[in-house]
Amino acid sequence: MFKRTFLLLLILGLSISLMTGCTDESDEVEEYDPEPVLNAYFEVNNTFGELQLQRVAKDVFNSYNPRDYGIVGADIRVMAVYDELNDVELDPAVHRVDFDVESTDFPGKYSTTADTIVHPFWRYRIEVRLPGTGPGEPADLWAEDVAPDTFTIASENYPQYNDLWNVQPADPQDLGPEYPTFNRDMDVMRLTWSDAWTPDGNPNGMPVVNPKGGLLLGVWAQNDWEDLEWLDEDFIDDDLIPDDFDKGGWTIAPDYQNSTLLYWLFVSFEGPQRMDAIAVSHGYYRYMFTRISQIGSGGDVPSYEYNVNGGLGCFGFWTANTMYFNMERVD
Amino acid sequence: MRRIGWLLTLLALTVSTSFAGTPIRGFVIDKQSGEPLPVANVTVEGMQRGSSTNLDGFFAIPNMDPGTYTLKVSYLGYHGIEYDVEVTKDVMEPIRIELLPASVALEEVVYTVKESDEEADRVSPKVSTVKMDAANIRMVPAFAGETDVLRVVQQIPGVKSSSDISSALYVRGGSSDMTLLQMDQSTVYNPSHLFGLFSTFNADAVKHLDLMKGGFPAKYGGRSGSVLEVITNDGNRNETKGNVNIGVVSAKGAIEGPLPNEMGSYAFSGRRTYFDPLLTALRNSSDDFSDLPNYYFYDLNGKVNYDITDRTTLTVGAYRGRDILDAEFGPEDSRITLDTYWGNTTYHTRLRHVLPRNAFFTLGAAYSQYRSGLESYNEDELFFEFRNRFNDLALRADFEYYGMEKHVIETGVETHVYDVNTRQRDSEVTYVSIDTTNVNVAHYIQDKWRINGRWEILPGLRTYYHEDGDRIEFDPRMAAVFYWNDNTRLKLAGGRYHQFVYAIATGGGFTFFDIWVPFDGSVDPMYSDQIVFGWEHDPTDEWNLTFEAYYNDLHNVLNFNTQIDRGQSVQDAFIQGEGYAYGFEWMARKKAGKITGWLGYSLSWTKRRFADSYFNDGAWYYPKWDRRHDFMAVGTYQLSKSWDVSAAWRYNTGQGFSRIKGVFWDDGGYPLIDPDENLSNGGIVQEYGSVNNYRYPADHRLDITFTYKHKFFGNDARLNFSIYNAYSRRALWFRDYEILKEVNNGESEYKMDESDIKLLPILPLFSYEVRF
Repeated sequence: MFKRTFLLLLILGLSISLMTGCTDESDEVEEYDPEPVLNAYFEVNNTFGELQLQRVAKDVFNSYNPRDYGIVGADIRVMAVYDELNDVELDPAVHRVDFDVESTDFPGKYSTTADTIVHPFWRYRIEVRLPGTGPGEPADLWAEDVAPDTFTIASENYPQYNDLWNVQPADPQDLGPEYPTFNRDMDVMRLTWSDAWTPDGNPNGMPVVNPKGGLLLGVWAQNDWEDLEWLDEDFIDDDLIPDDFDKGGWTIAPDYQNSTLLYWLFVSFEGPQRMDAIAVSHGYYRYMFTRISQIGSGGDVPSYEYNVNGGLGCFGFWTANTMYFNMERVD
Repeated sequence: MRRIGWLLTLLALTVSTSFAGTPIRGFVIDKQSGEPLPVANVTVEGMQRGSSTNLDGFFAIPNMDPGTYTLKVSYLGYHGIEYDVEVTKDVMEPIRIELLPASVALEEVVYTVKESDEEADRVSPKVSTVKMDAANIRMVPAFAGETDVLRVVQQIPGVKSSSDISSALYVRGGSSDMTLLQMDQSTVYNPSHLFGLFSTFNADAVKHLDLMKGGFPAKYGGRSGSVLEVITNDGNRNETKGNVNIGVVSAKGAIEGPLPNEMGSYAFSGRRTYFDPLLTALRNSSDDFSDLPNYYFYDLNGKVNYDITDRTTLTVGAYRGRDILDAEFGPEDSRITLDTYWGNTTYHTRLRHVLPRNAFFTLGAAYSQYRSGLESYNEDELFFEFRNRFNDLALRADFEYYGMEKHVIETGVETHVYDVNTRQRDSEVTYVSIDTTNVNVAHYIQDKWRINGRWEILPGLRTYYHEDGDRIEFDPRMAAVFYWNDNTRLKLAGGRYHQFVYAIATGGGFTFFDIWVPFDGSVDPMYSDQIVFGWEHDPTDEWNLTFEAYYNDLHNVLNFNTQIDRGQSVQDAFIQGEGYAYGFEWMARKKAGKITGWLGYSLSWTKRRFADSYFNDGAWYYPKWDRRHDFMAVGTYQLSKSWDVSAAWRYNTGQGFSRIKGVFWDDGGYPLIDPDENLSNGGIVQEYGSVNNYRYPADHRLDITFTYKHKFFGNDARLNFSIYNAYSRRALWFRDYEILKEVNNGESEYKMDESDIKLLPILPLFSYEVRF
């Protein structure tokens, strides 16, 4: 009797389970309607350069060529809307740049013929009207960010090389003796950088937002791939450089950080190197930071912090200091 | 005000009825070892009166008229007995009722135990509670030759793990930090060794465990999900015993025995892995292995019980477990050292006293410390440092009153002082620094009230005061049992459950990286509202069936904010949201006979949302531990007097993961890298879409253990041969994406490659144990 009751209950339970408990498998991936993506990064104190407008490519397990996913024929403009330093509204009609030149080589890349300069401390707004959207209609994509101020960078313990920042060599792959040479036995380099803006420097004494979102610091080997040589040949036994090995690396510092140590140990290759310190706007920093923080997070993967409304991507500004140096092996 | 009035009324009732009749009271103990038996059942023959023992083995049946009574005493896995007791007008000293383990043959069985929880449930209307003793724990197939308490718990319906190599518990939709883990009433904050592969509970030291999956009474608190209470061995009070166990992974041993002059008992056990000599030998054998890390873990348990008087026992215990992982790597001339460690240390002392007449009192203090750290440096420089220290100093007093015929009143106070220091820095900048100390005080009162022959209820109230934020919170609880007939019970339980400490889980399932922080007032405290309905049936003496449905409403749940770049408070480190979980479970448990074990199934849904946050754009999602179906079959079969075989098979729906739904090209504006030269950091950005938008395939696995019992130089010995993952179906751990590049006619094209990283294949392992 018990066996029969138990079996009945078991069958009933399993049946109910199977009927009501079908696994919820999202069909999001199959039915995904790819969003438009806007990536626009402009250098402070320089003319507006190139930007890219595309759609997310969803069929990536076969083949992906970025050129196949560009969105052409869009209406794109950037306008300055506010001077954060002086707390003054700007007229967007006056400070407007149209990106009306489309690349024929890379569909989806747009540039401008305007010689307008990106102004530090200014808040800019970008508006994109996709093909089919009229000029009087609301923008399909838009974003705002504030361009950071320029900054200076110096080494506390290698002050003799401070003059070499932003000195462009004739040949980045063959640095002359005027460029410093380091090795792994030498002291690490301590770098400090000035704030993009400090309250004392505010001419109006007005509290304003520091437009610098953070700083990226990177070192990249300058030699061609086939000429790369390990600094430590025992570090990785294979004489060959693996395909997936980076020629350099970069790290990111939040806006409250004003110094860092550069460890020679983490430079992998012999020869000429390029070191970049890049102050980026807040939107740019958050986008890069969330990309980094996701690496190895292993948990429930969140999306990146995009600042483009109506789609994905990032609209940001940067300003950089660059220095070249050589690395030598110590046997 | 109304609550105070209720309490005063209750107190007055308590006093007024405390002198009616004489109580029968005492301890139920193991005759062989002298150890007290928790949750044993004591009933008065011919009367609907009875009690179950508390965790100290104590029971009391109040207000008995003078006369001679026969007590029926039973405990799962022991021969039941009938015990005659004479009650006079004078208060009797606590009696000692000794039970013999069922493994010991009796010439005459005094009383055939009905091997069910029916009687126990009559005096313990706990809902969603699964009890296991040492024998149950040992019957589940060992993992890597190690019987593991948490892996046994993971085989109970309603409990999920994040993977085959994780001992973290996800109970009924709660995250792992929502389960209170107590060992001898000391909280254990991170119960894992080897990145979660093994738990810190040494099975040889465990006597009993209660898993309360939900709807637990007011006596327990501090977590908004569930409770796992582990009671360790008190030690043999009659003779010195011990065991030595050698396995593939570790060696362990235990010794227990009486204190001189029958003043009490002691129990000590220890375990240590021996990966490190093997790893050292490998490192020394070839340069190819020079970067191999050094790793080991150990844990030590100790407990001494000192009988100050017949009615007063002082217990002092300690636990220490540590994992050590050291590695050196990098260039010959500048090796980088990576030191990693984590572990728990607990000390506890407890005074239990049988008060005159109808009461039992315990006073305890416990100190629990969890430390973890990671330090990366070379001879000159510190590259990175992470240190986490969580101290919990707990004081508690519990009072059980048996003076009323239909009531058992339990009340107590529990105070925790949390001291946390967490720091993450490099040589230049401190990114995260949380340094806080605060106090949490909780009071509870509950009444186990037998209304009549069919109804029994357990109302309760737990009240918290938390120093930071100056918060006072009330958690009302209620459980009720309706005895449909002798073999069938209906149960209902629910209440509110607050939580004041949280784990920041940053390690993708590796609990070593968890950082525990207390509520600091910067956000609202997390709590859940739970309701559980259960139906229990004992179709035969050997079988017990349980069907339960539950709904948990989760409020102010927390999730680590992966997008912070600075933090000094809980508000900085977490985003706050809401969630719910519901489902139903059944469990068919066979408790006696040649085959013992259980079948279990759970059907459940869990969802969470962090509205107004970056996380999943504030939309609802299934967390990783949401799985629709879990089915498990666990059993032991006695092949002969010498041979046992045990097996565990589990099927579960795959867990969710965030599958890439597309990519786009972004060379970053500034030439951070040259996309044509370098792919690993690349110009390709992976877009994941909504959180856990896909599921891994369903998973199933069979583990088997053969045990050969024999004599070794006159001592009992066991040879265990385990087969982990018997048909070698490797579970999917995670799915990895790699970007492949091809150059065709000078034009670069890319392809995403999807590969599955799988867990362990079939592993035959053995261990050998000698008991003396």
